[in-house]
Amino acid sequence: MLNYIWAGLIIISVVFALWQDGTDFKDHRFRNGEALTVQIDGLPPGYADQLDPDPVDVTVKIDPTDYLSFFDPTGTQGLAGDSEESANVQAELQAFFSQPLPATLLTTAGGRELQLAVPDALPAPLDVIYDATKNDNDLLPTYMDGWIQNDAHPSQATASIKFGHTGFVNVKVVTETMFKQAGNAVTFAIGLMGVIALWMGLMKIAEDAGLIAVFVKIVRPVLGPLFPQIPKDHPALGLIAVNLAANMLALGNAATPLGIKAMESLQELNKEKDTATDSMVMLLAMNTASVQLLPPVTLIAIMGLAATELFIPIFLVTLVSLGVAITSAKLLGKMKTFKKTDPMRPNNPNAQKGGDA
Amino acid sequence: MIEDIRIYQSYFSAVVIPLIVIAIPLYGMFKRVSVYESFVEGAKEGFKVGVMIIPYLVAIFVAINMFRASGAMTAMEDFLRPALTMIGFPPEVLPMAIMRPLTGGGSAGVVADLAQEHGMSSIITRMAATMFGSTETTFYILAVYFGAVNIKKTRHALPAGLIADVLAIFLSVYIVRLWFG
Repeated sequence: MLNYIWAGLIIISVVFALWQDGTDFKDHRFRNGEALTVQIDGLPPGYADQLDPDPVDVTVKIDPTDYLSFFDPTGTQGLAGDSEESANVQAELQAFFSQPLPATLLTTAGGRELQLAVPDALPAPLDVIYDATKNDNDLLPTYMDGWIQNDAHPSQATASIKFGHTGFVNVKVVTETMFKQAGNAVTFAIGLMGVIALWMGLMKIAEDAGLIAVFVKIVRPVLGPLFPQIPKDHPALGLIAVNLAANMLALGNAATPLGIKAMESLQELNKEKDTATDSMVMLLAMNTASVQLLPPVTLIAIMGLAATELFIPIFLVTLVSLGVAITSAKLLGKMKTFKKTDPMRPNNPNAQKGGDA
Repeated sequence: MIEDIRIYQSYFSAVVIPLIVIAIPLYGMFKRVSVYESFVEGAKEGFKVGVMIIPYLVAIFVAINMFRASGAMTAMEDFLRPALTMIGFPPEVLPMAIMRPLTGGGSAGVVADLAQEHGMSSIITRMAATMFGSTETTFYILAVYFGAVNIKKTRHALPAGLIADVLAIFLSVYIVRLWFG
């Protein structure tokens, strides 16, 4: 099942992103190659007469109505229109473009270039264009398509600008995420090492001192029936109990290492080292639906005092879901498909040496 | 009363780990175990486990975050919304329901967002927080616990975990509604 879900997530992600990008192209959403009219102000005297002027700082004013009719001429993208939503959009645009944007006007080999300094929270779809085309200085580059100098006011000009070519935005984001998360997983695992080492060291002491064996005796009557494959005096049951206790008391960063320790103990009994035994599945199911006597630390961090009011609802929900987790682990384990892959089944041809307890 | 619980709880969290940390070596010394040697022997595992889980975490982190980044997760919410609203499931907590088994950090973010938008004591925030508190990041637990011992064939672990998750998510909605009227 994990195979299908895993592949499904990746395939759906890429196909979905491609489909969205295709829709963007089809709708001509970013107006690639088309020019928007803007007003430029703050040109130095005599700018128009210079052949190769130095970069100058100017301000750029975009008319919200022009912006709307540029990006959504047919009113089909939800920007224009009479609905309440599009009225909101229009009000936001009015507010956003009420202030002129600071910009740098420079002349390059390819013609005049206007680099806009834009604030956060850009209106759609300019936000996407910005993310896709911003330059190293976090400015939005635009390219001059037409230029009409205002003769009455030499510091002003009307220009038409083209934005940088924007396309395959979603696929690019998905690809970037893929590489970023691959690195993130490694950082995360390395960050866990210390805590895991600490708890595993402590548990080794507890094991050597016979503390786990004491635990096994205590929890045997309760946990024994859930883990019938564990031999009577094996430490696995004690470690499982410690892991579940850490979970119940919301000792989040202790629970994971202790769970791993319990898994290792179960792996000793496993006859087929790459396949989960029924006991392992049961431990995992109990962990994903663990009973919480105390709300998790993260929740208290987010909600403060309000989290304590949820104490009883959380306890009730986890109690029921623990029951369901145990039942479904047991029942699914009895299903033919899963039963025939049980590493502990009699006469397992794949059984490895040393798997026997 | 609730204030008292909160205080005892914070006291409890503050002392329980230090108590465990002194109790284990103390008991070990009492039983004449070479505690330092045992500790180091056990702690060696930490490094092995950390390296062992990397491939599993890469697989899970990459797949889940691609799914989020592509916008497919939002589309899935839009797709499920009408059906769930019909059975009394508030649409606001839907992102939580979908994200919870996939990512711990992401779902904590959803609780924080809802708390900011609707207030701490709104029924929406309470439902989302109860979901957060009563379920675990199933995919992550699966990757770490099984990765640590190199289990690749997970058999019925994922279905069992997800069945419990789905139930806990629906139960959170109904129990919170009952509990807070």
